[in-house]
Amino acid sequence: MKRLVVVGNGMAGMACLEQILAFAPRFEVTVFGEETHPNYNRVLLSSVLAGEKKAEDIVINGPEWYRGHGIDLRVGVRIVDVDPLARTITGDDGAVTPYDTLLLATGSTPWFPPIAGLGKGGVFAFRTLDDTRALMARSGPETRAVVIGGGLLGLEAARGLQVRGCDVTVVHVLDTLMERQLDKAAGVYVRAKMESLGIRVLLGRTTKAILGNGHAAGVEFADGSTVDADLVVVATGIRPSVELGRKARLTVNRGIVVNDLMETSDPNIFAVGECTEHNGICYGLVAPLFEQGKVLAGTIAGNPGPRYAGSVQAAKLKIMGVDVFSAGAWEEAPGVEPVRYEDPGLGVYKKLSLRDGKLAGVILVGDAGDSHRYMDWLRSGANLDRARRHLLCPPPSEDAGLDVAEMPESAIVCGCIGVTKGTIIHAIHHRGVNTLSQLKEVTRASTGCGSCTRLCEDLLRAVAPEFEEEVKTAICGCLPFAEDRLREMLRSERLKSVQEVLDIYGNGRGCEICKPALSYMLDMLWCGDHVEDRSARFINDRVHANIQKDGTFSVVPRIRGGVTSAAELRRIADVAEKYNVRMVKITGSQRIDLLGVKKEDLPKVWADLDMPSGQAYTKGVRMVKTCVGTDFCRFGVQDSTSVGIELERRFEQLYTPHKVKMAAVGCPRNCAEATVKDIGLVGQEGGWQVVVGGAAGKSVRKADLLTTVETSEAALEAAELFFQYYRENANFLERTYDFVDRVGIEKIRKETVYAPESVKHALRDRFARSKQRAVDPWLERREPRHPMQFIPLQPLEQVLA
Amino acid sequence: MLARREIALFNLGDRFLATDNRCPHKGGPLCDGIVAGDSVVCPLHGWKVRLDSGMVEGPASSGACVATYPTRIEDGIVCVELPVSLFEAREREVA
Ligand SMILES: Cc1cc2nc3c(=O)[nH]c(=O)nc-3n(C[C@H](O)[C@H](O)[C@H](O)COP(=O)(O)OP(=O)(O)OC[C@H]3O[C@@H](n4cnc5c(N)ncnc54)[C@H](O)[C@@H]3O)c2cc1C
Ligand code: HEM
Ligand code: SF4
Ligand code: FES
Repeated sequence: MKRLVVVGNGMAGMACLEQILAFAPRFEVTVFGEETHPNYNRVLLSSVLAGEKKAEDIVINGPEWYRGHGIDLRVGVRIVDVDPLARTITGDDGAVTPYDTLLLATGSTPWFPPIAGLGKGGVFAFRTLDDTRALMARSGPETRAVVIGGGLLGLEAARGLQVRGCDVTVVHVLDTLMERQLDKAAGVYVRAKMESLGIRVLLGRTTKAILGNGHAAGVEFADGSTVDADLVVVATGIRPSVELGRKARLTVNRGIVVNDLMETSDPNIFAVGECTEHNGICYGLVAPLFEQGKVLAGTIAGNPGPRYAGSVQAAKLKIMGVDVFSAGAWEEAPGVEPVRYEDPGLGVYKKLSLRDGKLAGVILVGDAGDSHRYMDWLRSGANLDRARRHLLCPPPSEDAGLDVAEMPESAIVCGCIGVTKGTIIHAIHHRGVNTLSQLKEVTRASTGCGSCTRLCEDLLRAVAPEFEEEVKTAICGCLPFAEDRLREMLRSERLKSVQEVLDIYGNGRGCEICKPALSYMLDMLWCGDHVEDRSARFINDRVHANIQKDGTFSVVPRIRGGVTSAAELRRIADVAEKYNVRMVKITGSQRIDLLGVKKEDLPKVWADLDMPSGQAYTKGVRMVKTCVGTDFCRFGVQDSTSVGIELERRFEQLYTPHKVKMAAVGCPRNCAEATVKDIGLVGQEGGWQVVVGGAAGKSVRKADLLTTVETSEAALEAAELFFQYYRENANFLERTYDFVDRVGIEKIRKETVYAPESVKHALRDRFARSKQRAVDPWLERREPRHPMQFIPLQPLEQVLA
Repeated sequence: MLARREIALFNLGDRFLATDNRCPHKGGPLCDGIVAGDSVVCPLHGWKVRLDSGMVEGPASSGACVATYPTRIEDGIVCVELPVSLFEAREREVA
């Protein structure tokens, strides 16, 4: 078998190797990689920095892939020499490896302009997973970060750092951002977007030096001005890594020169990816690398297919809420007709450059939804004379499927990986693909920058017989994230209001599903220190009462543990009469419900009751049902009444993913049904059982045992750990019985009562902070949130008067 | 409220829209609902009503709608254009 040695375990090398293995699995393959990671998707490092993805999510081929193909993977080895005559390479560990065929896929390295002090601590590049990890470790709230470089990479780095809490300034040497992808006008729009996200942008500044004694403290510009910084990221460009090409005496200009078959000047050595130069162009994006890889795989496998004719370059800025797309030759030149549309109010700028009736280039800012249409025109070179009226405003199509139906089979859907519509349809018909993740696995489509996800889904919807929507995992259509991802993202974010989250991560509008969910999440994550937006809440949470079918409300005051007094009962009776309450009802939860109260009477009713809210209307702590316990019962072995009252006092006024009903009973006879409550304390001889996840409503479920403890205080603490854990990890509207089923009681035990002390401490601390901020919502009777909070609609006469 | 007809006014940030305050399902108070894009979701049973056209979006089969009223902003005051019949109804009520 021939020995194929690949230097560079990056995107281009491995994509090409995959193709080679598919064509001709008759090589003995060795792969050298300087980075100590399996092959990962470099493009998504920005998403890792921004907390949208985790490092393990971006792995393309894990160790099992190499093993499965019998590939000898050597990570952490840098190849330092090539001997093209002896056909060997040498690693920095001194080991010499012979090859028959050598593939150089060494990518590029960051290029730094001449700035003094680049060696200081706190100065980073942004190229590898290790760089990203280092940035993540160093950034955080109160960190002042300066990003040098206002290109794609610099802006994505800036946004990532800002999401991590840093105060960020982007410095660019030219007077327009992303000049390689955008014209000046578009650059202005992008600048405004970045600034609206809270990122400072300084243009026309040449950075001269990194200030600071051993560690970065600021940067100094050529004009003498300075900016303070604890962290500096240099994203000023890349240079192809051609050192091995030189050692092998290949023809090298800026990159290792390759021809249309991707051959170098040595018949046994090939090159692919960012380290190459084809027709005078060095590419810096992934799509061309995949196209090169396909051609090269044919060449190496001995059956050359189509030749490589260069790529249409397309770039997309991967910052949520800042749509920027650019492709082709958009520059204005003689013979080029620009077609423009702009709306500064909306922040939308679009420009098409036409040459001889064909699309030559495109720039989209603020709305890149149609980018695939333009890419298609660019690649196919279609004549656009007849589409002229609808170049920038396509006629509204009746259904989303139409767009996809119109695309030719050869049209490229995923530009990053170069997957055509035909390939996807083939995968659907012949490989049983029905979901987006299956499609990703089989074709790799949509695993790059992700901008074609919608198109892939449209195709699946139109063609796959049993298409299964995966957005089920997303909260709703407004926010394309599953709830657990969103919780993690918001944890690292500085966003405090529902509208901000929707603007940045969603469609800016929201709906009845995501708004209340986000309201809850922000309240929980910020321990009550968020910006409350009542219009994002359900009516019950705007007026703190339960709306009834006739538009009146029910009022349930808090009666902790179901224990009340004659004085309280008297006040309740008085209120019932004074406000003509239609029904006074003893609830199933050992409390009293006053039904049929008018909205405008709510504040007065609460004042007259002079009792806190029982929160029977909200997703929050309901009640603790108790039995009489040791005080009166002849079987009682624990004081269930006072422990129950204490439990209610500790948890009340906190909001939860769904309602939380609790109970405490004095012995296993279980008179208050603690084993079918969300949290139950069951008294025993010498201690308590703490049970969780019970239900006796729409579902009936016996609670699971969380732990058995000896003292009442320990029981309350265990309940508290579970309670906070549920608040932080359950999806909105997920009751404890679904939550416990989904997560599993073993895992919950490990992460609450049996967790390390530090973890428990952190849970207790966040609980305490939330509790400290919690107040009785009925106190809004004194200071309404809003002058109209409790006011019903008024007759016109009164309004006018 | 005019002649016992309640009018709900929605502030969508960039414009105001007015509709009857009665959900076509079972009369729920639309003004107490959650706004989702250009629609409001009734607080009682979750019917979704478009605020610009008044059409019920969900459930799609209902085909029901509520009355909508044109609005405009004059000197910072939101004006809602109401049909004359409503004022006549009120005259009758007063009389
Ligand atoms: C943060 C970030 C975001 C990006 N976003 C996009 C995007 O949205 N769209 C897009 O199209 N492109 C994007 N890119 C660019 C894209 O990642 C690159 O074009 C692509 O990864 C290049 O692939 P490659 O295989 O040529 O090089 P690389 O992926 O860099 O792989 C080269 C590998 O070779 C190794 N190596 C080099 N020399 C040696 C040696 N002597 N011995 C052993 N190993 C060696 C390196 O360690 C490296 O792992 C982004 C890049 C970054 C850093
Ligand atoms: C709109 C519909 C509903 C309203 C307004 C409503 C309201 C209430 C109220 C106010 C209480 C008393 C709570 C308290 O005292 O804190 C209660 C208790 C209860 N509700 Fe409902 N409820 C509704 C639907 C349901 C449904 C659909 C179920 C079951 C499938 C249900 C099961 C219960 C049970 C079991 C209790 C008693 C809880 C206990 O004692 O532990 N409810 N409900
Ligand atoms: S649960 Fe036990 S202690 Fe409580 S009332 Fe019933 S029998 Fe008595
Ligand atoms: S009354 Fe509006 S949905 Fe039923």
